[in-house]
Amino acid sequence: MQIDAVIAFFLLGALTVWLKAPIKFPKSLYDSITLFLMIAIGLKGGIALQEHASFNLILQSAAVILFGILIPFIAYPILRYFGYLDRINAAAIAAHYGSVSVGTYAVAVALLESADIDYEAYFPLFVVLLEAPAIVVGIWLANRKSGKQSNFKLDKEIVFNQSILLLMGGLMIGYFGGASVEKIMPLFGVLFPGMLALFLLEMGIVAAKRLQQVTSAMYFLIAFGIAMPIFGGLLGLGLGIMMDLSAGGMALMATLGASGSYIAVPAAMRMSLPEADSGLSISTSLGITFPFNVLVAVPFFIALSQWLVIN
Amino acid sequence: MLDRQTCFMVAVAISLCVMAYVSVMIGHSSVAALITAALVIALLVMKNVKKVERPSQKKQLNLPLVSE
Repeated sequence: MQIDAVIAFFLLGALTVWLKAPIKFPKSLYDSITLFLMIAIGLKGGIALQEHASFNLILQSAAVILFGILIPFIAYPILRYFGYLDRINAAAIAAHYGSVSVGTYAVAVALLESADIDYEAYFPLFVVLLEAPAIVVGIWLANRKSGKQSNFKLDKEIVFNQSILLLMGGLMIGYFGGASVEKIMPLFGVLFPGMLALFLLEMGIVAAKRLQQVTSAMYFLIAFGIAMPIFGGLLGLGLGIMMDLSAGGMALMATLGASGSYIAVPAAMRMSLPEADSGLSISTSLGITFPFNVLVAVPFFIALSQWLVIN
Repeated sequence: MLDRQTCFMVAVAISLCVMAYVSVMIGHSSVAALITAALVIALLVMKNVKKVERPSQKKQLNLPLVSE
């Protein structure tokens, strides 16, 4: 049996917590790696966008935005009806699942590349497009009966948060940089898997700690944190089929549907819905959904996409 | 009679079993093994936490946020 080296680092991080021998991972290193990954993903997408810009891509982008709007509308009633959650918490958690996890996307890309499976390289554009719509929907779901309006500070948080800025910035530099971008690609291309491995080492530590903090309030959310990746992933796979994507593209679209945000959305929710219990949403998306996606859902969707294309 | 939360959890467990079955059918038994392991771990974690009926009774977690 062979295990992907990048995934093995995630397991190593989790193992250190379970063995009660946690590795001290410097916060500044984690911040630097996150910054690196987002720029690298954006740059790669920008270069690909230069080669693939077309009217069809605009239609695909519109479909992706609608997809990002749809998922919170599915998650919200599930959380309200089955989970008995209040309006604010249900809306906040739904927003997390409508948005995407760049870390999960990076893992899916690494797995596709290690298996030599082709994918549409302009996918980072979709990652950027999927970050914000769910935040807006989540806030609307939470405030629709109280009549609150979103304020400028919040709009700024949505538009100018670090992940959107870096991904979009990288995308623009990759698109407009022309041949000069190739000069910096050895740093952002060759080192990408190694940086991702370090990122996953830290994420393994954080996810395992979150899992240990699961309490009675999260009884239902454990099941929800597994159900949403399956449901969102299958919807993403369906969208990938409709968009006539390659096997890798379908798997990536399923990954985007399956993942839940743990960076951009928590920051926006803290600002816009301070009364929501951020521990519930982050523990679910980071402690349950992220490891489930990395270890189970992403390999499953890659296998299923390959099978769908072959048959 | 099963309540809504239990029904949902049963549905999730069935979904995982279906995923494992599909994985075997498409020739990826290693993925099926991972799914089975996830199901077992999820059941073990849930066994260790007490069920809550209504949100009004739930404890506020106030966990520290992950480093941004």
